[in-house]
Amino acid sequence: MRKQVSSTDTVIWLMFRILPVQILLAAVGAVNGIVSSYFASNYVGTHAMSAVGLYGPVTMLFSAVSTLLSGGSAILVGKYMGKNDQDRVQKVFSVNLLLSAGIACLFTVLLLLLGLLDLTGFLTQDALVRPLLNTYLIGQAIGVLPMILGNQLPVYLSLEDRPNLTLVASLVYIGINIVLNFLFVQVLHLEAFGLALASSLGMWIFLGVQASHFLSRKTKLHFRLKHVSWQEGKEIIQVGFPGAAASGYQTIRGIVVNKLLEAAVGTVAISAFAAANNLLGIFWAVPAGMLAVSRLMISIAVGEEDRQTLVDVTRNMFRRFVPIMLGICAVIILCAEPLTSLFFRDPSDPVYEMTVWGLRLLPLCMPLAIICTHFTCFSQTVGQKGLVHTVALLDGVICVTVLSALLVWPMGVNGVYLANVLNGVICVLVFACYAWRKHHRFPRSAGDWLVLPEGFGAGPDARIDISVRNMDEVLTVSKEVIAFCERRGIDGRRAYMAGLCLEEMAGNIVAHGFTKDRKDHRIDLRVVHKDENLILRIRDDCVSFDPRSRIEKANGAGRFRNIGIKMAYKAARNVEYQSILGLNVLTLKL
Amino acid sequence: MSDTGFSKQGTTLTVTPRDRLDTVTSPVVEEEVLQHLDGVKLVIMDFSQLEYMSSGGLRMLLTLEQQMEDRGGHIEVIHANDYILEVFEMVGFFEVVKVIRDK
Repeated sequence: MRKQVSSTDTVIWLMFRILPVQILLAAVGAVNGIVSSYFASNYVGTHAMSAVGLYGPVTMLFSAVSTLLSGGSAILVGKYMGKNDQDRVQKVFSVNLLLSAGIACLFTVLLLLLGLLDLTGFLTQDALVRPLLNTYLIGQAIGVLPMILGNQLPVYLSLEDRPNLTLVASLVYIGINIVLNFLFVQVLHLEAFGLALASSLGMWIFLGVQASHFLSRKTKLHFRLKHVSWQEGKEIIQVGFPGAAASGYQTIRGIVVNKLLEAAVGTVAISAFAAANNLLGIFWAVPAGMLAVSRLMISIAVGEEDRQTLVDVTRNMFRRFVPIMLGICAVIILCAEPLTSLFFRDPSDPVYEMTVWGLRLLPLCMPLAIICTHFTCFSQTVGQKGLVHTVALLDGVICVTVLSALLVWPMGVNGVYLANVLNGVICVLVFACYAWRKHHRFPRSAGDWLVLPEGFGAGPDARIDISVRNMDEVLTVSKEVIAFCERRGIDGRRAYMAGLCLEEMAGNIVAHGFTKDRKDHRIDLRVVHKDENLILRIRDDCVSFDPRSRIEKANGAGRFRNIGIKMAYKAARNVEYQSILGLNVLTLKL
Repeated sequence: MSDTGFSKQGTTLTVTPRDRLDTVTSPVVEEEVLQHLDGVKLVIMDFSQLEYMSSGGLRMLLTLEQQMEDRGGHIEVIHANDYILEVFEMVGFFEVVKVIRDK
């Protein structure tokens, strides 16, 4: 009997396939922050730089709202696709875009009012900075709509196997931003307005490149007002809120920590902390990208009640993502001094030494953040709301502010750096303790860390996974499946049909899908016996193909063509096809 | 070589495939049947020893039916189990090949 193989390799392959795009997307914000800062400080002046800095909290607010919508939608869409509920996927897509556009329009009006009516006194009273800030806000108002909408689309593009379009849009945006900054700021001397206008117009291009897919015939997702469901809108907000709340808490944390640093050390410490954070901003794209990947995989696996994939994703996070991050951290730590020199040239200046230590200590937060955000996302997806809100509060504000208050007086700015690292340790321990409480032992394996709801998925005895790479392996599929069904006490008819369906579909894929190109392919077959249902899943990485299209063509051409597909569709009570993340996924229920 | 049973009486050939007719075994059985077709007008496919049949087996039967029609004969299927009969029903096989159900 051939050894049964899990689909772990497919999960790992998928995670690394979509990781680069997610990292690049997270990096776009950091890169453009650096571009804006460079042009502001070098070609406009320090007052313009102050205006950019004062706009920071506004950006955080928009980012929080955008995260709420995109994070909530990502989780819901993943779950619904896992359950083959295309109707709800369409509803989430439509209401997501409508909510995003509506909120963006409100923000646009707000920024225009603040800038045009000079209502920015609450941000600054500086008479030299305020006019620049006002024009900066007017310029930024033009880009709010594409920014918020543009940040919703990557999730859907990933699900429709077009993550490269986000990559292209991001690269184009970076390029356009640089060119327009040069044109508006250096050539046309539009100062703060030019800085903002460059970014805003770049955002429209960013949106346009991504949106082109949804205006084409290739998409299965269509924005329709009739699809808009306010119930789904409410779900998006409820599911996405903890992620957005975390951004809000971090804003409070930032203000408190700055006040502590100013009181205990002086404004030089704030400069050092800000410089270290700015430099690390681009590296934070790596954990952010890893989280985006894990979130997508986790939400689909939860929707499919696929316990094994959840374990695989978690194990991959521990065994691959965390070590990769540790490697990057080691490089940052080793390069702390050269990196500091990009901002501060004088090593005798206290800010230099403080920044160097920031770059030696703060990177240690990143691997901890990967673990913490992975389990936060998992808990969000399975509805462990209490845990999610607790961690958001601890991670977002309580741990860092309390530890900073304790450590900043004896240790100076290093105390704040250490507080951030200890915060990561505490949050990871919270998840470990939660798992300990459930399993009555400290988590030792990836599966131990996951606290799954009662009745979730099928136990290992109630499922069988078979991997197929060639026709020889197809031929033993029906025997293995029938043997599994007999062990589970499933009736002879369903056992026979299950074996037949899987052998027929796998055989077709090998015969026709594997030969379409010269790449190696695999098929992951799964049979799950749960609640008297027999669920068959066939997942392959060949070109996108919906088997139903073959039946519809064959009915006219000849009734005995595509017999295998017809047999499978008639034997099953229900058949659903999806194309997710570049994989064909066919689910049959018997 | 498969372990298919063959017996000939006059112009009737009885073929008894065993265990499985799938993508691998069906072409072998088909080739063996074709070698026995001289002077045959009726091929009886006795499925009493057959547990499983996939689309490969169905295609084999269709090919044999066509071959027999060309020779002025036909094939019949007997002793098929309930699951195989259900598969025949799904693809409309009864309209093409004569299937005699057990009572």
